[in-house]
Formats: sequence, C-alpha cells, structure tokens
Amino acid sequence: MSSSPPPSSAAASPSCPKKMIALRSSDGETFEIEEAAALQSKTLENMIDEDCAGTPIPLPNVTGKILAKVVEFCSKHAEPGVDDESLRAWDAEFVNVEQATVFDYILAANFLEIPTLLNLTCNVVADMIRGKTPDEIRKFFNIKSIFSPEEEEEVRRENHWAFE
Amino acid sequence: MAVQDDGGGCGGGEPPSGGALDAESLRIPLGPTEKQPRRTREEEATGENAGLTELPTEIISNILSLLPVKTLLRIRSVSKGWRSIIDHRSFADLVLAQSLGCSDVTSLISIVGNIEPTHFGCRFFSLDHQTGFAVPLGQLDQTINSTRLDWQSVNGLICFDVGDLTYLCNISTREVRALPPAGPDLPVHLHRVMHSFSALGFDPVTRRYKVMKTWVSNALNRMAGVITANKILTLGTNSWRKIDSGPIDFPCGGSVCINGSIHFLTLDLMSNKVIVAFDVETEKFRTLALPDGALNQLHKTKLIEFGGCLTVLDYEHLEEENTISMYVLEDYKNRVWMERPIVLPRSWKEDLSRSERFLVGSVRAEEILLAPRVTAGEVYFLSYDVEKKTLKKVQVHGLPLSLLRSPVIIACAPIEYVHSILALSEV
Repeated sequence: MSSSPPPSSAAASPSCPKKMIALRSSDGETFEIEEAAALQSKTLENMIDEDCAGTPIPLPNVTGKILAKVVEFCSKHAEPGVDDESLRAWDAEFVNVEQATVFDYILAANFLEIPTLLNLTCNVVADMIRGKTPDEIRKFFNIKSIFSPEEEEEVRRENHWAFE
Repeated sequence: MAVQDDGGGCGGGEPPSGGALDAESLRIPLGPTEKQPRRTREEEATGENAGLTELPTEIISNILSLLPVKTLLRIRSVSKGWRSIIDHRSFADLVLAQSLGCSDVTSLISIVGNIEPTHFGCRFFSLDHQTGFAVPLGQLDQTINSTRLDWQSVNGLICFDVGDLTYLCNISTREVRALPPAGPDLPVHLHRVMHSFSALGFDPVTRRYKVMKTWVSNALNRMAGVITANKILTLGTNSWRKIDSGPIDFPCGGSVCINGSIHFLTLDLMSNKVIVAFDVETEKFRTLALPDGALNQLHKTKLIEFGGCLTVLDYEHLEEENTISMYVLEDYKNRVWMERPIVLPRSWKEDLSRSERFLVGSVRAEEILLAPRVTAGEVYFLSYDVEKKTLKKVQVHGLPLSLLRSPVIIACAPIEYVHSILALSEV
C-alpha cells in the first residue's frame, strides 16, 4: 500500500491534498498518517525533517496493532475544532482497554515521544495504583516482592502514619 | 518535648537504572509484548501479565510521581525496586515539579483551641483550598511550636526554632528533624545574651538546601554595638560553618526564598527598614531598598511571594481605608518595584467584624488571604483574588467538633506548601 506522497505543501486546502507520511511497523504493516498528526510525535518530527520523503519510516519498536491505534490517536488530536470536553471523553474511551494494551501504548508513546499520549496513559496506570494496598498492587501488576516479612514490616513502620 | 526521629528513606544513593536492583524489576524490553496470548478480563484482574515490571525505570518514575505523597509512602513497601525509585533524590525533584505544576493549592494552618475537653493546645491542619477541607496533621502537633506568626515554606519544607535548636519539617511526609546544635562561638569577652533565628533557603541551580542561622545580642542601645554571628548548614552535611556577618536584627514580617536568595524584612543600624537578601549559593548578604511608599512603619508590613516575584504587602491602612499597598519587585535585577494598590470591597469587614485583629498572608494562587485572629463556631479565611478583584470566604470544614465549641485562635496566616517527598536525611 506504499505510495509516494503527493508533491504538495503541508498546508491543507480543498484543492490541494494533505501531505501524508508513511510508517512501517515492526511486523511489516504500512500506515499513512497526515503530516499534522505525525508532528504530534517528536521522533517522527525529527525523521520528517531529515527528509525520508517517499520511503516509509520504519518503526521497529511498534507492532502494527499498536501503530494503528497510535495513528488514530494522533489523527484525532490533530483534528481542528474539537472541544476539550469531547476530546477528553474520546481519550477516556481510547484508554478503556486491557492493562497490557495500556502498557503497549506507553512504550509506543515513549519511543515515538508523544507527550499527550504518554501523559494520558501514565495517568491511567497511576489511577490503577491509587487506592490499592501494597498487596493488591502486587497482585494486580504481578510484581514479586522480595522483601522478607521483617523488612516489609520495617518499611511500613518507617511511614506508619501513611497506612492509617 | 518529643521530636520524631528521622523516618525518611534509606539507600537512595544508587541510581535506579543501574544494575543495583533485584531481578523482579525493571529491564528494558525491546518492544511491546505482542507475543503473549490475548488476556481475558479474569487473567488481567489476577495479574497474569507482567506488563508493568517491563516498563523502563523512567516511565515507572513518571507514573509514580503522579501519586500523592501519602500513597507513595505506602507503596514503598510494594517492592525493593519501587522503594529504590521513591527514595531516590531525583524522584523528589519529579514530585516537586508535579506539585508546582498543579493548580490545586494546599496550605498549612495552625489553630490554638480545645481539641478534647481538657486539652488546650496548637493543632495543625492541611487545608485544600478548592474544597475547604482540613485534614489534621496530628503527627506534627507535638513537635512544632508555633510561636512565630510568619513562617514560610520552601518547596514544602519549613524550618523553625525551638529554643536554641533548629528543626526542619517536611509537611507532606510529616518528618521532623532536629539539626545539630550550634552556638555563636564568640570569644569569652564578647559573651552576651543572644537570641537566634533560622531561615531555610534553596538554590535552584545546585538544588541544595541550606539553613542560615543568625545570633543577635540583646543590646539596648543599638549604636553602642550589636553583636551578631552567622552560621550556615548545608543539608546533607552535619556541621555548621561560620560565615560573614549579616543582618543585625530579627526578621519582622516573614522570610521568602526567591531566585536562590532568602529575603527578609528587618531594621538596619539606623533603625531603618530594609530587606536583607542572603544568596544561598554564594553565602553572602546584601540589602535591597524598599520601595518609597513602604518605608513608613514596620509592623503591618509583610514579605510574600506573589506571581513569582518578591512582594511587600503594607496593610497599615487596611482597617480604616480598606486598602492594602502591594509592591511587586517585577524586575529583580534592576530593582524596579511596581505598585499595585488593592482596595477591598467593604464587605470584608462584615465577615471579620467579630475579630479585633487579623492576619494577612498569601498562597500560590495570587490571592491575598485574610485570617481572623480569633473566631468562634467556625473557621474561615477571606481570599481576595487580585486579578479579578473578587473576595470570597473559604469555610474550613472537617475540623473536630470539640475545637469549634469554644473560641479558637488562628496562630498564623496559612502558608502555602507544595507536596514534597524529600527525605530530610538525604537532601
């Protein structure tokens, strides 16, 4: 599906097609994204400047499944005329996914340097942590603690008021 | 008097991204874990996936820095990896940056009154300005002696003296730490009765906290010679160092740390009002002249930070004329003050009419706060928004009922504090 981008300026106008950037995922899928949307990613912004005109930009750290969603996110956030409240609602729906997918989004947002997506997803994980006891957190995220019971008791005692 | 010993972090010396962590934590993966089979909701709830532990350390740090200090202290016990992140010095900077970037305002208020039927004393609360809800800071009640009416907090830390000892307190973690005792070290023939005061400063470039302590002799005739001595302690070290002399009198009207210098109002040798600035990095004193309009009297003047600038509040005429003169040092380098007169709507007096005296202060959100000194049945503050020129009453709720049954004294104007997880042993 790879095609060379039309020789047009970045500014969109009815008669002139918008500039599209081609991306290739780690598993070989290709996606097209509008330049304005691509600029949400600092990584892509740098790559575009270096003139990868025509050839798809390879992204070995992101699978097709996740890249598709990232493209969707960036496109939505580059859309003009969306009010804050509906964007927030859209974002909430966007991250209403399995825990593992949220982590995939975080890694992709980190690699592609998309501050809005990184911020959104980090807050989702913070919300998962909030309100849980240490034990619940360990179970939820499958974290193995190698504190001995005495060590753990000591850590609790250090800040006992926080457990009240 | 009981002072809680250092309960702060341990082992924060190693960077979390080094190999020092145990196996269960933070390796950097090559890519998303697409190879794992699709998870069911049930598996997810029981944590069959290992997603979180595969995230890079900086990301986990960023996520954790979004959480409140109380939560962070609790989740230190989740794993050694998390404890290592939370205790690390650079993590404290992340938390501070989050708190400074947040528009929610929290302040520390202190109230003297009856908590139980027989227990009259000073109690501290943290006040959320959005909701008006006060949370008791019980752990601090025994240790902070609120004789001063004008503290400030520096990045969420406050410094206070009890007798000859200097204490530091992190309001968010409730940690209180006594600094090593110090004396003015004067030659025997110069011994006098000396009183001391301490001030905390922060240098944003080196990110170091220092406490500056001044001793001033009790000379009746100032011109006959005032003896002063100054010492400084860099937090993280355990010893006081003697430095060149500075101000010759006690501060009157609070201290404010701005632009890496501690500023306070005091009197010079000729009994003129002056602002003394102590540069935290160079450890030198200098003076700043007050703006012309603010020279007249000392007692109803206060230094605050307003909109990021050093500001003098002069409320001498507040009661008769409903005015506060505000001088903002907008151009620090060239010492250019901007005068911003404030005229309060007359209604402010109706709310404070039952109180003979009141306290003036400011918190981060560019408001001026008025606090009734004595109040009965309810605790509240008046908050004046300087930009919008509006006055509103902030009712404080969540206070123990026994406190409100008799009149209470507001011990000091609210001081704004940001949330800090800095362990005082480690600065």
